[in-house]
Order: sequence, then C-alpha cells, then structure tokens
Amino acid sequence: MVFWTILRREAFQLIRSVHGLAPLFLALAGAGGLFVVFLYRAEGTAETLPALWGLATSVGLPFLAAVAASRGFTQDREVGMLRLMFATPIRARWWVLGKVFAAWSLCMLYVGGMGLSCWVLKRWLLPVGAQVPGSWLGFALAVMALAVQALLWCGVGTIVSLFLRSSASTFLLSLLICLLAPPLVWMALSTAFAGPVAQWPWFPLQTVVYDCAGGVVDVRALVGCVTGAGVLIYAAGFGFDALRLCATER
Amino acid sequence: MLTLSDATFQYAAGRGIAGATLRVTPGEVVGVVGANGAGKSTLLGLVAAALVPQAGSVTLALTDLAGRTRRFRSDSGIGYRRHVGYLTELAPVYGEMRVKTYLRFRATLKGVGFMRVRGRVREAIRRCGLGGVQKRTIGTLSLGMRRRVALAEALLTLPSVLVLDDPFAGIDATLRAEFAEVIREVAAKAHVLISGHDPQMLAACCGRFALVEKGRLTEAALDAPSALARLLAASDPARKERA
Repeated sequence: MVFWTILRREAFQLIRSVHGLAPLFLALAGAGGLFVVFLYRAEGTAETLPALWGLATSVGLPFLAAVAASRGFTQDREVGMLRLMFATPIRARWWVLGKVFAAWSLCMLYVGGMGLSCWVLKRWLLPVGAQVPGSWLGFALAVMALAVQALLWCGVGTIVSLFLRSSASTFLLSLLICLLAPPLVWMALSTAFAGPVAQWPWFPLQTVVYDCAGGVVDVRALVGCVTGAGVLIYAAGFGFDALRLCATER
Repeated sequence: MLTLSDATFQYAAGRGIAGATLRVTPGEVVGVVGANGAGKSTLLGLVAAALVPQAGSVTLALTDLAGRTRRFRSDSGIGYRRHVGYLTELAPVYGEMRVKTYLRFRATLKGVGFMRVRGRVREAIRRCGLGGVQKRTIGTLSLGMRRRVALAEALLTLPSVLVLDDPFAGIDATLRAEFAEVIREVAAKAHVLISGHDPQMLAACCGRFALVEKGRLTEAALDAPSALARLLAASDPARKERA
C-alpha cells in the first residue's frame, strides 16, 4: 500500500512535470531517428529488427534514466522535505523503491513509445513483400533486457540523488556512471576471469544484452543488471538511514 | 510521559545539542526558546525521531485504556514515529499537489487505515480552516495557507507527541491566534513541544519553557517572563554583564 502510494505520486509528478517530459520526447525523437537510419542502412530488409530496436532504444535509456532518477531525493532535499520523510513511520526501503520504480516507469514509457514507432515502421514503412524475421520472442527478450538495464540505471540515479544537493549535478554524475560503468565492469571482469581484453568493446554490456536478433540474450549480463539494481536499492535504503544518523541537513 | 535522557546529536559540520534531559507529561505544552543556531531545531528533530540520538535516548511511555504502559524508543524502528506529528521549520509541502490529495497521501504514509483516511483528512481540514482551499494546488496558496497545510499534516494521526518548529514564523497575528487555538485544542491529550523566538507569543499556549543555549538545554522549567529575560540577556552581552 505504502509502496503504491509513493510510486503513484512520484510517477504522476514525474510525467506531469516539464522536467520529465521534455527529455523524454527529445530522447524518443533522437532514438526514433537513429532507428530509421539503422533500418534503412540494412537496405530495408529489417533483418535484425529486435536487435536494431533494442540498440536504438538503449542509446537514450541512460540519459532518460539519469534525468528521471535525478529528481529522486534531490527535490525533497531542495524543498526541505527530507526531514519530514525521516520522521514518517515507514521503512527507508519504501521511499527508495517508490522513487526507483517511478523513474523506471518513465523509462518503460519510453521503451513502449519506441516499440510503437517500431510497429508503425514495420506496418507501413517497410518495402512491400519484405520479410521481417524478428519474432515476438525476440522483441519480448529485448524489452526484458531494456527493462532490467533501465532498473539498474534508475537505481544508480536514485542512490546518487541521496547524497547530492542539486538535480543537475545528480544528473551528470549518474549519467557518467551509467555510461562509464559498463565498459569498466566489462574490462574488470574480462581481466579477472578471461585474461586480457582481446578486443576493445564499445558499450559491451549493452551490445551483448541487445544482441537478441536470433532470440539470444546474454543471461550473464542480464543477471548482472538485476543483481546490480538489487544491491543499489538495498544500499540506498541504508544510505537513507545513514542520512538520518549523521544528518548533513539541519 | 515523554523523556529525553542525555540525548545528544552533533552535526558533522559542528554544533547540535548535547546531553539534553527533559520530561514532558501528557497534556503539557513546553516552549523551546533560544537564540538562532542554539540547537532548538536539533532538539525538536530528536523528539520527532527525524534525527537519531548519538548518545542518550528519547522515550515515550503511553498508557492504554486497560492501564498497560507501552514504551517506545525513538531509535528503534517505526513504532515511535507512528505517535509523532511534526511541523518542521520550513513547513515543507509538495507544491504541485492539491491540499486534499496531499493530506490523503501523507495520512496513508503515516499508517492511517484505508477506511479512516477520509475522516482524518476531513477533521484536519476543519481544524486548520482549509475548507475553502482543499481542492486548490498547494503551490498557488499563500505562505500562511501553506503553513496551515503543514500543520494539518502534523495533526493527521492525532499524535501523542506534537512537535512544532517555529510555527508562528512568517504568519500574521490572526493566523497566529488561530494556530494557538488549534495547539491548545490538541494539547489536551498530547505531549507538545513548540519552538520559537518570542516567548510572549509562545506564552499564549505554553505552560513552561525550556531554554537552549549554545547546544545545551540549560533550563527546563522557566516561566514566560524568566524565559524572556534569559533570552534578552543571551542576545545582548552588555545586558548580560549588567545582569
């Protein structure tokens, strides 16, 4: 009940505010354009439709997640609500979960919007008689991959928003983490477990996650995202309690 | 009975409050006075469980109708916080929400049962005179009205501990009188702590005063004239020397 109450408020507020909507539509437009470019470069055959869609969508996802999550606790801090939240008789994790999933809902709206544009392209813009090998399973897997990755990015943004004072700095820091963390994690894992990196991977986790044209999804990457999101949400709950203990705010 | 025993809280950046000891009985209204930065808000934050004491404790003992006494410590989970109504210094509210929606939202978070939310919100709106603006967006209201909304929020759960941090700041004389009336009404069954800078204003609703000086609770049972004299002395070194 408490979770839904917080989620509903945060999500409505996020969607209603210009702060949330403007980047959403900008990201949608950018990713949509990229999608069209990819599609026609593939000579209109849409051979790897789900993979292209996943890749196009994933470009805007870290930006959108960073924008959505940057409001998180920063806005509460700005209006002085944080102290009232400390005194509210609910557990810290409900605040965190409500905020993470509100930002995540916005990201999923974006994913849905991209899916719609994909359906429109497939329905009306593909050459007559063109075969579309992308199956519904491929799309479903791509959505799942995007969803778990968005959850991870939203977790990053929310935990950053706990400790920074302005939305702008929260946005920048969480975006940096979202963009730099995958290559760093990939490099660290490759170095630790599979010898030196043979080939420099560009956005390794993302390309692996979305390489699902044939219904193939890298389970390790997905598990990594889910685990990362879980750890971040759990840590953010502790972070909230730690703020109550050391109170940087007067 | 609300009891603070050597409650201490120090900010990372500097002063907070150290070794505060205070007892408040049910139905008692205590005014917390002191100069700016003396530690009043920190003391009230401890009582409201917004801050966790680094040493000492804040305990609330409540006796139910059957005569059983239950004790709640401010640092042990959410049990204590269920009994607290808190109006912070900034009186924060979500400006984009409507008054009634905001109060319903807060009532749900404060653990008011689904069936009781409507009644509690209606009661808080009536008490604080928000009937005419209950459907308006909070951000469009005047500062005084927003303070009323924040006070209504603090009263939603019919709290056993009511903590009001500078409730009279930035509002006109009429609203002050209305606030004082509401506080007196609530105080019959609650432990009430109110901070402020003007003991004469606080005297309208407080039975006794606690004085906070330089991060310490130096007096716990002053009357209004004594509190005023001590405050003036503290704010004026020359007068202090003469005294």
